[in-house]
Amino acid sequence: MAILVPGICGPRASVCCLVTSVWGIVMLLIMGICLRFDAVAFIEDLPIPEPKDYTPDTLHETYVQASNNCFIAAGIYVAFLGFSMWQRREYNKAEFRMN
Amino acid sequence: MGSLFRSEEMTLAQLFLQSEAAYACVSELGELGMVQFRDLNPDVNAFQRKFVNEVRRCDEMERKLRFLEKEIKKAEIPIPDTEDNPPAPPPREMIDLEATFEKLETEMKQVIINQETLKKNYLELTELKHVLVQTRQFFEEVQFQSYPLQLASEIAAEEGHHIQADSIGLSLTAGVVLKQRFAAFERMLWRACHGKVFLRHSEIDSPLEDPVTGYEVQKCVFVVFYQGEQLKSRVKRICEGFHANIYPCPENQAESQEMILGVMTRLEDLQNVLGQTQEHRYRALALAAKNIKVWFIKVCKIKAIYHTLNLFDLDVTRNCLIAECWCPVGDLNRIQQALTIGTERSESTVPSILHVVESNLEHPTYNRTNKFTTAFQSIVNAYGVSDYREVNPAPYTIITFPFLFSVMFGDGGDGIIMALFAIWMCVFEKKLASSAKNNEMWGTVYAGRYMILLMGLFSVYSGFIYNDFYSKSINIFGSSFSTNGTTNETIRKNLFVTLDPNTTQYLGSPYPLGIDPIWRQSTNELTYTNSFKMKLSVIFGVIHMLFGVSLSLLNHTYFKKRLNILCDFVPQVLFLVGMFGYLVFMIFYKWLAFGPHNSDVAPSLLITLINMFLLKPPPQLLYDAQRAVQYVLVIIVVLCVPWMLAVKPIVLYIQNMKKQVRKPKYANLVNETEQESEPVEPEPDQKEKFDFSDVFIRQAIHTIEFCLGCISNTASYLRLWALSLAHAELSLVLWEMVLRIGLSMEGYVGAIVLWGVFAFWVVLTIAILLIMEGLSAFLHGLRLHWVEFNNKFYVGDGHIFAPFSFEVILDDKED
Repeated sequence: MAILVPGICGPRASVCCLVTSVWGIVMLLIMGICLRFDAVAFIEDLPIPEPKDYTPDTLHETYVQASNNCFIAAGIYVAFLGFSMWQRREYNKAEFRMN
Repeated sequence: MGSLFRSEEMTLAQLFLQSEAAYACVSELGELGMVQFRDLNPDVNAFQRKFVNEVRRCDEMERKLRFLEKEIKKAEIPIPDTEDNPPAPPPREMIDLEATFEKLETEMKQVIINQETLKKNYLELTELKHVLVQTRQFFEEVQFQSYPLQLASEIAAEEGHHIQADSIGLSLTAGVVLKQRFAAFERMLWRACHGKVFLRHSEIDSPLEDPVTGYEVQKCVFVVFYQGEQLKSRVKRICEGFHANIYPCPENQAESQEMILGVMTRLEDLQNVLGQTQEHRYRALALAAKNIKVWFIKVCKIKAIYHTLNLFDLDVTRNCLIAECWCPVGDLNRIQQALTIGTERSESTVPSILHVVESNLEHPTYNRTNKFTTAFQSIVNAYGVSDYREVNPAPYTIITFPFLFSVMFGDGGDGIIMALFAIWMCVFEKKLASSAKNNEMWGTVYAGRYMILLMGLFSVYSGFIYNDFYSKSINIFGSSFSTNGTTNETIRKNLFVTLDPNTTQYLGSPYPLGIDPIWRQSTNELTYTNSFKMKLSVIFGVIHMLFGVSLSLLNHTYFKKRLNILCDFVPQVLFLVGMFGYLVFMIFYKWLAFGPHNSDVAPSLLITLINMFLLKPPPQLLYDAQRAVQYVLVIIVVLCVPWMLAVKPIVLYIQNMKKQVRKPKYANLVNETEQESEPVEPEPDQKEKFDFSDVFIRQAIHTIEFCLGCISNTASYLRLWALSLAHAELSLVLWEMVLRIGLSMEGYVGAIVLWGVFAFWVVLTIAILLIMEGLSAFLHGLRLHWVEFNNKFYVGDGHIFAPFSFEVILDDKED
């Protein structure tokens, strides 16, 4: 198994990545679920077209798109979590070998 | 068992210890850590104390240990941390320890000297080797046996003289000099010997190690040829001046070869010996390294015991040491037990005696805390240690401080993160304890982990009340506003719509917990929340201050100062309640009595309050009897001021007058001889003469401080509103500027942008919202406690109980 590429992730950076990933997964999942249910709180964040152009369905579609984006971002964070955990394990092994 | 309500009852105790038992008893008391010794020899110089020799020996031992530690660190041997806590060794073991340290120190010093000598020899041999090698190179091309002769004829040939080979008395000197000095050396030789010497040189390629400094230097080999004794001495002197090392040069090639071989073997031997010395040193240091921490602890304890013994009073006639110490009344049994154990350990027949003494000295303040309450007690003590047996504000701080923090922090999402961080610290507290000792900032955060946990949990609660989670509101129960009555046409034509609570757009009952989530989407959100948070701040402030004033009642009752209750407490409460208690009442009344249907006739509370004190009639009535009630309140409040100001000094003055009047009566009854002795009834203010002006001025300052302070402190509590507003706005800006970039992208590229932007948002949230705003709210909450709350009742002039405890001393040593 390849040893960690030096300079990408030291021990502290990998812990930071771990925390960020976990937070990202939890928060993006919750945001995704809320957007699926058309939460009014996010109304200003979404790219909604001009009022005269849309129907309630377009509004719902924008919400669904945003919610999908959130889930995909959460998925990327799962991969990131795996990456940072792998880095951490490699670092621990390298330290163990040095000692 | 003590409680946090007041500081513990302390008492002065006298210990009578037999001289043999004293050491062991003090050792036991140090392990227990429950007594604070008083210095019974304050006038005695440090050098005249009884145990000064022992302290000096301990210092010597510490010096040796430090030297050993330095050597161990130089050899890069790891020193293992020891978990066990060795007890202080008895005095006879001290001699053993001293002998061990002495032996180790001399051994180490010997090893170091040997190493230096060996290195010097090594250097000389290396230089000699280089000299031999280089000179051999000089004469490589020559076939003749005799080198000096060959060169002499060369010189002669150059100069044009013809010299007989055997009549030449040419000698040479070979040596090694620093490369940087060589040019000057050459010039010096040329000048001093008037050019009558011949110099050849070549550099040594590899740098050599200087034994003294350990640095590596470049050197070069030189050979000087000259004739005659005078030149020889001159050359020698110049060589000495330039710190050049001179080596004997061989006569011919065979000798040179022999010498080279000899030198090589000697070099090899020396290297072996050097290696073995190094190993021996390493082994000795490794052995010492295993025990060095334990030795440090033992020596530290011995020194502490002797320092303490120096504080005792020696009674030579009865061969015992007398000590005076402060100790908590609840722990007298444990102290007695410790003394018994100490006496048994020293195999002394005479038991040690603990004798409780009454004293008028200022008792130290001792609050028994556990790992949870320590943080709160320490922030109270940072302001001022409470007087002996004064009411302790710490137990209330456990709840009020995180609560006021949460009112200022007010974000549920940040509160969850803070609480999770604190839970991690609390669950892994044993593992993190050692790393917390090394780093000061991390140690401070770790010490406050329970406080941070409470702060986080309370912030989650206030996040629900303010309905603010990373600037988004959560709709749990369904908003109480709806869009009944607006058609799709209205929505399509207008960007903004007004929801009027007077119509069916208000569903009849308010949102059950906290602020309605729809407010976050409205344009007049700040107008509404500002009014709400300001009123909330005033309410909390008045309640907090009223609580502080009522704590002063507990103090007055305990210290039996009934005059203070009548002249300080009652007018203070009336003043506070009359002015700001009424304001709080008006706030609640206005909230309850006025609704959306009559909000246009609701009077402004601030104007009402101001008009009340200007005795102007209120423009709009809150309730029917308002004018009469306000007149009465104003009269009461105004009367309170002279009550606080003048009553107490006048009463004290009258009391003093009565005592003065009584005194001559007693003097007549007592006969003359007794008049010179102390009076029968010692008067309480005999120590300080009753000075009316002093008392009056102090009371006036107190009154002004309280009255003006009431107004300014209530306004000061508005920071609860200001900071929560700041936090909400920062959080909103962070979301809009950062996370919105990710959410507002169309298409699936938005997911990747969201991923990147989210990490950035996390970093900014932690840095700005959690750390910066958290520290800010912490500081302001602390200020509210220290100034606005404490100056209603707290004196805080005591001194803290600092027991003689090995644990404390060793912890300090580690820093």
